[in-house]
Amino acid sequence: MIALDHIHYAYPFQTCKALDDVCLRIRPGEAVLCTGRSGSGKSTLARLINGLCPHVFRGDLRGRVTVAGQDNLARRISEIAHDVGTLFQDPEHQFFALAVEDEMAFAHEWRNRTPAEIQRRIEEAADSLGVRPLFGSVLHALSEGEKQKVALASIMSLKPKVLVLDEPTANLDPEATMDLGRHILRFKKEGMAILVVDHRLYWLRDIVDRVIVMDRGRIALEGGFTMLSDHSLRAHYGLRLDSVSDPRPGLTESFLHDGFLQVEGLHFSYRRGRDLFNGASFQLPRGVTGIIGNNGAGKTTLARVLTGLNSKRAGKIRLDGKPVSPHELLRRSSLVLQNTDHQLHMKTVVAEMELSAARVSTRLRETLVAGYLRDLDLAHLVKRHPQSLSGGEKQRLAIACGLAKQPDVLVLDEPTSGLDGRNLQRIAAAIRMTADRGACVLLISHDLELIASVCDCALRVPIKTSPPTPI
Amino acid sequence: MLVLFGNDPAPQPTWIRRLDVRTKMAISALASTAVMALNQPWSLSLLVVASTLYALSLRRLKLVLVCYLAVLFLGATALLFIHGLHWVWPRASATRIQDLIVPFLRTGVMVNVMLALALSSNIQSILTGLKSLRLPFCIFIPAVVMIRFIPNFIEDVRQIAETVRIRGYRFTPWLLGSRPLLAVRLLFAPLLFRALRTSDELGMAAELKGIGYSRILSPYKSVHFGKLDVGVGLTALLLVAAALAVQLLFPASPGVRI
Repeated sequence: MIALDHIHYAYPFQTCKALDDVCLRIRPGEAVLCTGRSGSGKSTLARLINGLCPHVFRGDLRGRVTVAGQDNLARRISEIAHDVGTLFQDPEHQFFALAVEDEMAFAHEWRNRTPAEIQRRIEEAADSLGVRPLFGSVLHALSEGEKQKVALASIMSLKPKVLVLDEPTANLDPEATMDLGRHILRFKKEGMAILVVDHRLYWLRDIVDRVIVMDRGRIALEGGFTMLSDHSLRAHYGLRLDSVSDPRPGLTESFLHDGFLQVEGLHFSYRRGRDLFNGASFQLPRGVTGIIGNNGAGKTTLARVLTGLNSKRAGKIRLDGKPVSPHELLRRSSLVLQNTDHQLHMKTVVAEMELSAARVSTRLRETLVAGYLRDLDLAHLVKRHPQSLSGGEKQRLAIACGLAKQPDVLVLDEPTSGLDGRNLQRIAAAIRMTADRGACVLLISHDLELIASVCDCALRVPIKTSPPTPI
Repeated sequence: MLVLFGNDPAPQPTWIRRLDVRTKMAISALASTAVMALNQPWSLSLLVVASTLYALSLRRLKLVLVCYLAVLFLGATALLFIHGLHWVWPRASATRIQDLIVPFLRTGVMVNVMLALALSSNIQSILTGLKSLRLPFCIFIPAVVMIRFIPNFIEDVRQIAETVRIRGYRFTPWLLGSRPLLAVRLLFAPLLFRALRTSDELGMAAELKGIGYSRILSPYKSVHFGKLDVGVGLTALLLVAAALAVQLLFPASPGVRI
């Protein structure tokens, strides 16, 4: 179904090849996992199959990519889309309409189908993925898991022969991840050829038939999933763990520890919306607390309230026993959100860091900035424009900026989504170091590997009010 | 999501919201053609009054007034620069207030009809309306991408302002006055890159959905004009005809620039 023959590909204005002599075959009913460290060519491989390379990204392609027996280069991308469905890390990037039903119907409207046929197809796909009740909803109001399902249902309604999933679980909670795995198994049985590009490996153990490990644009290894059990192999290629036991149930509740950040009677709701927090009281110690809950439970909103970015309707917040205003909270905290593009403003990486460390004394600033750049493997990029970095590098820079502010409260929202094993370890070490300095680190993450390696305790959302805190 | 101020969850039910979006688009197109053709203050005043009533029927008086103030601010800034230019370089012609009456009235009409369209229509209904017009592919796609870009752009501005607050800055007149270069960089550097990235993402999303596979689009949802649309459309036509009649009966005096 998918055949790549001796592919050499370089992006425009790049001297280094993104793919170098890659050969790959995926049969109908087969699922293949493609993994490897960031920048090894995984996403490029996916883009060659769905036609984005070279039709959209241009660049220099040698070799032949065939999907369903037809050369991709000889077809328009809209024709390739007939055979290939693509699911991205952030499904919002592939939504064109704004409401669920309209989004699902959109691609069909360009295939000359009657309204009755469109309706039948989208209802069938929506039923199979359980998103029919969301038909009237606005897409941006859905949880990440729901968005992912809508995107998948939208693709499945088109009945493609090939499914390409590029980092599909990066924003999903572990339950939604396992749910996605079950759907992939079903698609396999229906005869679809599937390529999954992902850093997270554990959820694919019983799903994929084959694994390819990419390294510097080449397929370095190919074999069964069991080869990933080799620790030295994973370390060599910067891979994540092949099996992860869920650490969440074992984490103690945050209120059992001495509270540094204390919250009493917190009320918050968005304008004209339902109450997200209704009189919640809890305390968060110094160290690392995992904010745990399903997609859409209100974890990010809680972080925004706790750092003073959103104003609470009622309630008291104290830091180290002293009441603090939202303004003071914002001054003493760092919040690193997932939207790295929005967080980078300056001309160079080092200027970006210095802007964040503006309140640190001049004497210490230089050493501090250099230290964080080194720890997060950004030292060789100091003169680069932040917006020219790769996704993973931007993510690490945003985190480094958050750390450079030397906050009392540091909130990280999904800091390792889409990062490889080596970078996950770097982020984990930086978090640990900040916690050891005495900061209260709140970690919002679905990444079980990260939670297992850094969290001391947990705050579960929705919050069951803890015993009265001694404020 | 409305085209502007998208997170208003419960808009007030007014007749203007019941209008088909195509009617509102047609009124905007008619108004823009009319203001190009008319150059007489009285005829344009008639359209200004009618379009103001149209905009005020949104029952969002405060918001409409804020938009008027923003337009006045832009006009005043332009005037200031023209005078500044004249002061520096006297050969550049100075603008008298009476010269601005016709352009001001034209702007007023357009601001009113565009506000009525933007504040009463959601993006999805505009997309559906455009589909049902069966426009040529080369017009439909850019129009859809442009409209679809608006909510992303608004969201980007919101998120950038938020990240600036997290970094310890606020877009206050003090910041703009004391550190203008930093203020501009804080807002515009990420906004520029986001805008480029959003347009890329939307383009790729469209490609991967197979847009352009067929030259003809078959709309999933059909939309129908109602009696209200016919009534409002005819009223708009009559008003433009009346303005044209005023223009013909009282031609522009030679002192008024067009």
